[in-house]
Amino acid sequence: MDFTLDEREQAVSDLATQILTDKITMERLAEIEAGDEWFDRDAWAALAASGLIGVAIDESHGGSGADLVSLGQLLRAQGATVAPIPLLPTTLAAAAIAELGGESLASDILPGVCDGSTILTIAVQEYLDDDLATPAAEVSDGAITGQKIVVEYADLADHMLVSAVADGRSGLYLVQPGDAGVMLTEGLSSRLEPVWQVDMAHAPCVEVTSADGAVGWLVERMRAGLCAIQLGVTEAALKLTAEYTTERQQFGRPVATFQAVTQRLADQYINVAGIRLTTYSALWRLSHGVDATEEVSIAKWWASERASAVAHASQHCHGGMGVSVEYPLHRYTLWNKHLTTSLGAGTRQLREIGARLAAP
Amino acid sequence: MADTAQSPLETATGPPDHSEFRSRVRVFLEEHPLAVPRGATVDDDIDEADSVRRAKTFQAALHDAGLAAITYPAEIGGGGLDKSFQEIYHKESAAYRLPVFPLAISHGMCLPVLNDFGTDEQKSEHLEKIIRAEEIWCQMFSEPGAGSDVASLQMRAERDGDQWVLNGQKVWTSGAQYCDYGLVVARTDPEQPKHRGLSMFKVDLSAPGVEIRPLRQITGDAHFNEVFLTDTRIPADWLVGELNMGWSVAIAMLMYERVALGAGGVSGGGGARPGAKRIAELAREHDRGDDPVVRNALADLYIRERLLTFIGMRIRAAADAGRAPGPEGSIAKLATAALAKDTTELILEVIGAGATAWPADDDSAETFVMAFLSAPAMAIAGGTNEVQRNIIGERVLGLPKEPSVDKNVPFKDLLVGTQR
Repeated sequence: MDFTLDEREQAVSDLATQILTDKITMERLAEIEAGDEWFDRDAWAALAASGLIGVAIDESHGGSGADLVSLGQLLRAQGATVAPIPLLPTTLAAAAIAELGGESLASDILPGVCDGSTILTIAVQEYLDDDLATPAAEVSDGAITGQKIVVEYADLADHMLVSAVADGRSGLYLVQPGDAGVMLTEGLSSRLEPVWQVDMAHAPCVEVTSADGAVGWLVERMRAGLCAIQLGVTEAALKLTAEYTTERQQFGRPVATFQAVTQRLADQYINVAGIRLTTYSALWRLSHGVDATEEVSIAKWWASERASAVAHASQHCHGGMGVSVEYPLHRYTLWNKHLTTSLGAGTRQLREIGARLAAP
Repeated sequence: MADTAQSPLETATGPPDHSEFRSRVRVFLEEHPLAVPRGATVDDDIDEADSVRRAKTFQAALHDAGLAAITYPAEIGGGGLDKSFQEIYHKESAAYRLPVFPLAISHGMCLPVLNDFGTDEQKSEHLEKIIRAEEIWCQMFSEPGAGSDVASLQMRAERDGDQWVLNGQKVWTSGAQYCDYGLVVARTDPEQPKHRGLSMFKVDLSAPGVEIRPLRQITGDAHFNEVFLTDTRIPADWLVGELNMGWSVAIAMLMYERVALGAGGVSGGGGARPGAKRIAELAREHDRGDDPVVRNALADLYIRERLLTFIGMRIRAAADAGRAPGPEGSIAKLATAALAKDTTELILEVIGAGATAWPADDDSAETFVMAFLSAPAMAIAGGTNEVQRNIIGERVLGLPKEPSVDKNVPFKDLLVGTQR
């Protein structure tokens, strides 16, 4: 790959940015945060109407048939506008159903995803769980028992893609959050959205796949997707910071003309570029069926460690305004923190990369 | 578990004539219900009004016991003792969490400034009340257009007969919502360059024309305020220090602030930020105790905490010895801000998914996440990291000052704030 977006990827980026910038205003975000539902249904409908939610879903199921690089552009636009929509779980659960599940399941579920009427979520994390590939949740007699944490949109989702073990094999299963045997407990998150703990006691489920490596397949894509969102978040935070420090005057000149500020922001530009390159590389390899284990870890490291540096510098260069909720920047800081800690922050990535390098 | 490892310096016993005082301090701290030994479980889930009430109750008892403002003269409500007694109090109280956080600015900044610069009338009227926390004071410097460049502030004070009339807006005023008085810097002579036409006043925050609006922060708290003064009238003798010499009063106050912010060491401030030992416990709880990356980071934090403790001791020793606060306050403040950032980032790393989201009844996860979100403010409040580094460069290393475009220009001719 040459790290330049092709025509289609650029078109996805432009369209998604235009729709989300138009719909997700400061006022709208404040309204959603004060309301009952952390979901901009209007923006979601607009994305669906433009064919963007199904961008990476096959045309036979109502999608546009593009790949993960294009989906990455959509996620990046979400990050740039800090849009409260269930984009990552819906699109990646859909990708798992399309790629790993049977045709009948795909034709049942995917058209609804593409038209915006079906919301999906993913439940793969458990407490003290470093090895997502071997979950503690178990399937027996077509029902799951176990606990999942940090599940987004569990209350609004039609289906939940759950990792569980059946007869010693890890796999992915669909559970309906409203079914008997599923209990949702609302938790708090600093991104101000409700995040759910899901307790399943013999909850009815449908197998998507029990093929080897299926959970890892999904987690890799989720990590890459998180990086793409974080790319948008850091790009936008840096842009806001450049604007603010150019406008803000102290000592008779814009604060951006102080070298301590300029050089710190230049370092952040390099950090964002690193996040961009490693994320694109990971997405490209995943799209082209090339092993991306290492690239995903590297991208997630950048999108954790270096995104934290960008968040911190952005906040710092905004002075007190970075702390105030009346100015947009704080949301980018909250998102950065949320994304950084999702599915393994920097240290975990270093350990994984190191373990592969130093393996005997 | 206590995170106040004793250093050799701290275990030294004082001269024998201090033993009566030492046991008085010990008995007071052991017996007062609001003095909580470090490591004991405390109920942190109290609202602001409660915490102010606790601070007042504790401080009044401390004063009754002769243990408040130990080095201040007895006739203004202090302990009337020399610095060696202050040191004993510091050593003994280090083992406790005291509920005095709402008084940090009132005692750390306003009290010494009023003592240094106030008139005899002002001192006799207020010092004892401040020491007992019958009155709580705040500092009113920053404005929307005057942050790091605080000397460009636009709040005006105009003389009208035997009164001053104040107009303007302050911002980031900590604690204004529960304070009785503020020390406000205002411009009394716009014909002079920006540093020279400023004066310090005391302002009654319940007076007509004072409006306090809370500012909500990223943590959800509203610790800071915007304070609007509109034709607020104060008597002429509420001037603190000399007319048009407010900048030197402000500088003295900022020095005291740095010292107060930096001298607390790891266990200072709100006390919410855990140290390396607490994070080590967390690492064990989260099965990360064997992780070499985490262990490396923990050891690094531990060493830096120790260093900061030493810096804090040095600052307190200098203060106890009556030396004016110096640039070590800047070092302490820089180190504290950097440590807060790295400490809270490591905590999130250790907690992992539990820091992304947590059960609604899990107060500890929420406390850790809020500590993370409040850490960046430590590099800004009380003078940014950049301001502190400039102070070290210019005043310690003697480097030339940055060329300034506005130093000798009359303030009225400057393009600052809304004056554009």
